[in-house]
Amino acid sequence: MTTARSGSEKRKFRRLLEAGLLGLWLAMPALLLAQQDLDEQVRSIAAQLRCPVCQNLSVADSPSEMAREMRDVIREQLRAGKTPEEIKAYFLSKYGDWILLSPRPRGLSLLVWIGPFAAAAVGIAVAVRAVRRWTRRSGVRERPAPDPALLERVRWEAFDAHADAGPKDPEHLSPIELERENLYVALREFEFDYRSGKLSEADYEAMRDDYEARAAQVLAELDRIRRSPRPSPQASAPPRPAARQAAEQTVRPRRTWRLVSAGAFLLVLGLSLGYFLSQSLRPRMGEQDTLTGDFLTGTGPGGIAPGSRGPAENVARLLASGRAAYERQDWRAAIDAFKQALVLDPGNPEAHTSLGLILLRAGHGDEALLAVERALTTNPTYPFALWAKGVVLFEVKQDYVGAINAWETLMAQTLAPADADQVARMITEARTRLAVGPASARQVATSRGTITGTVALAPSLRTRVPAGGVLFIIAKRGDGPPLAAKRIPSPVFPVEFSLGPEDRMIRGTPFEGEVMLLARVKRDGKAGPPGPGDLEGEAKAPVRVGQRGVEVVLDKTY
Amino acid sequence: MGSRRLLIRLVGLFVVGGSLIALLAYGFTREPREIPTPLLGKPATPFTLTLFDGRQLSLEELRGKVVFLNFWASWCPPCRAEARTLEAAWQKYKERDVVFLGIDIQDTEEDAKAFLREFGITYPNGRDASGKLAIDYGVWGIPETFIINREGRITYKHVGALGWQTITAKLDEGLQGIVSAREGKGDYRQIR
Repeated sequence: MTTARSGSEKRKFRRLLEAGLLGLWLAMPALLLAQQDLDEQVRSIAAQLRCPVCQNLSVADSPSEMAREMRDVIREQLRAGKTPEEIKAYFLSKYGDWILLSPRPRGLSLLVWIGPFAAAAVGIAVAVRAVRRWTRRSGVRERPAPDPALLERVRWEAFDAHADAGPKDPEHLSPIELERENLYVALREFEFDYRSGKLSEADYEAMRDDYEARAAQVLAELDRIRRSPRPSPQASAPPRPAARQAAEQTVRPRRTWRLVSAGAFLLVLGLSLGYFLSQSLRPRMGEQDTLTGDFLTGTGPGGIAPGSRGPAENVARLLASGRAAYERQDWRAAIDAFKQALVLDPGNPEAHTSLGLILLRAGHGDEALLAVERALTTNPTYPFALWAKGVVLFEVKQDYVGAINAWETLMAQTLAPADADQVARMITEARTRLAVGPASARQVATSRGTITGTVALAPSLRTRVPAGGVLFIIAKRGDGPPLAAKRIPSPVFPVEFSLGPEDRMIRGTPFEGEVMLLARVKRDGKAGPPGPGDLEGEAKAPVRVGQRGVEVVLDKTY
Repeated sequence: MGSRRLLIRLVGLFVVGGSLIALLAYGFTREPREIPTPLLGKPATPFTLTLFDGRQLSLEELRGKVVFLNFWASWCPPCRAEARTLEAAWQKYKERDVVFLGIDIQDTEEDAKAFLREFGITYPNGRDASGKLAIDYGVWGIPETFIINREGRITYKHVGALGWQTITAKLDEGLQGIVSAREGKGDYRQIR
């Protein structure tokens, strides 16, 4: 690498950096996405593996040490360029089929794959049979089982006797005998239809049994009439005459109607059950929670409402919407989304870094640095945060050594070639600046009218910093209200700060000339006069706007 | 006709019901926690281990010798139970072509060293800090022991505490290059 570079390239680089600051996602997406992509890939592979410790959890979900080590192995192998298939094959070669959460369809595991479908097929067959049986009864009242002897007689009379009995004259028949004859005719027709293939066996048997039983009843009735000395037709009300045509006309439509309604009922039942069960399932939110919960299961409110998704899912959603808002340059929405993500996942490095970059755009360099540092405490090697840290140090602090350190830590990781290229160029640029001295940068800072420096803590007060205290850096002119002020929550001393026109209390008041510079640590975090337990310090002399390296020491306590 | 149908139905019922009962019997009589190893007869994964005394030891160096590879942790009771037996076996076999090697997993260095002192272990031991070695060998219940023959193939795996007889029998088999058909099992602890 050469340090002497053509002017055009330098300009190109400046443009690159500016582009980076104006639309960081345009300069940095590959790096951020690479990280997310890797995490996503690790998760998707780990989700297919069974944890040897928890045994019923995937490696992605298991909290065990072993699962963590396995996830590290997956990440390492992905970085080494292995495909998900190769990685799965590695685990398979060490633990056998046991390690797969969904077993390969071979050997005994085949049952797991075929079983549910077979069971469903059997279930459907049973349901169909039950429905058909039910429709076959065609509304007939349950009769007592007919006497077998009578049934024999029916069969004999209907089929064998009828050949030599000849046609009977309906004129000479009592209604009940007519009924009997009609039933016999119907039985013979059924037989004929079945033989000629018009009736299925099941239908034929059902109708035959039904009619035979009815005929047996009629015979029993006739016997009773014959035995009684004085037959009284009124007393023995004959059973409902049912001619065959009538029977056919009523049974057929009724059967199809019943079939259709039964089918529709089963379909609706299945669909509604599936729908409501899936609605009342939701991810577990904690140890005390049940897997399901709804009116179906009686375990409290459930249902997948937009707000009751799993926390991880929610964080991912919020981050995505934050990113989208950032790209639209809708800062308010982006800040809201990232802050909400931090409520759910307080250490989330992406949210911290993104907020830091937004702060940087707004000119709050120190707070940006704090936010980026928070991201790095969660994940010291988070590429996006390392990149952002370098940018903040480079742009705001002119701390080229720090920027180079951050970027070199980043370079130690596996980056996409384009990203590695860009970071390398930035490092070179920082080295050049280091050699030249930050004169040009200083001019920029001065023209912007910014005061920069450090706030340190007097040794005697080291233990007196109130927990949860907020540092205020205030520029005043005389005894009037503050001209500009900066609020730095949870400061880590020594704090580096910059106070610029963006920190003015009232827009439009000029931020120039000489000011008094105060620093104050407030327990209650509210701006205002100091209270008991608060710390304060003041710059030794009036400070000119544009001055750099101002030192303020907190040496007073209230 | 009717009786034949009845017979068919009965046979069908017996076939379906019987196979279902057989499947359930098979499923319920197996230990679901066990992870059968696919490694028997396969080449042992090479590794380099930093021993507790700071030396580096690689499996490659031990080619031509039978390796008794033991995964353990100081917090696992069965490991304590077998520790003295392992040391005694080492004393018996150290003159022959056998190397004992202990790999401490999921443990702190202090605890591991205290354990080695407590039982007077003299064969080489090292710590698998990243856990990668344990995954390479499909470890799931410690102690786990692998016997690797002179050609570097795994001839035997034992999950759980080892007794004297198993150690001697399997080491002798390893020296002759016999690969066991099945892994052995004793009292073990689930890894963490």
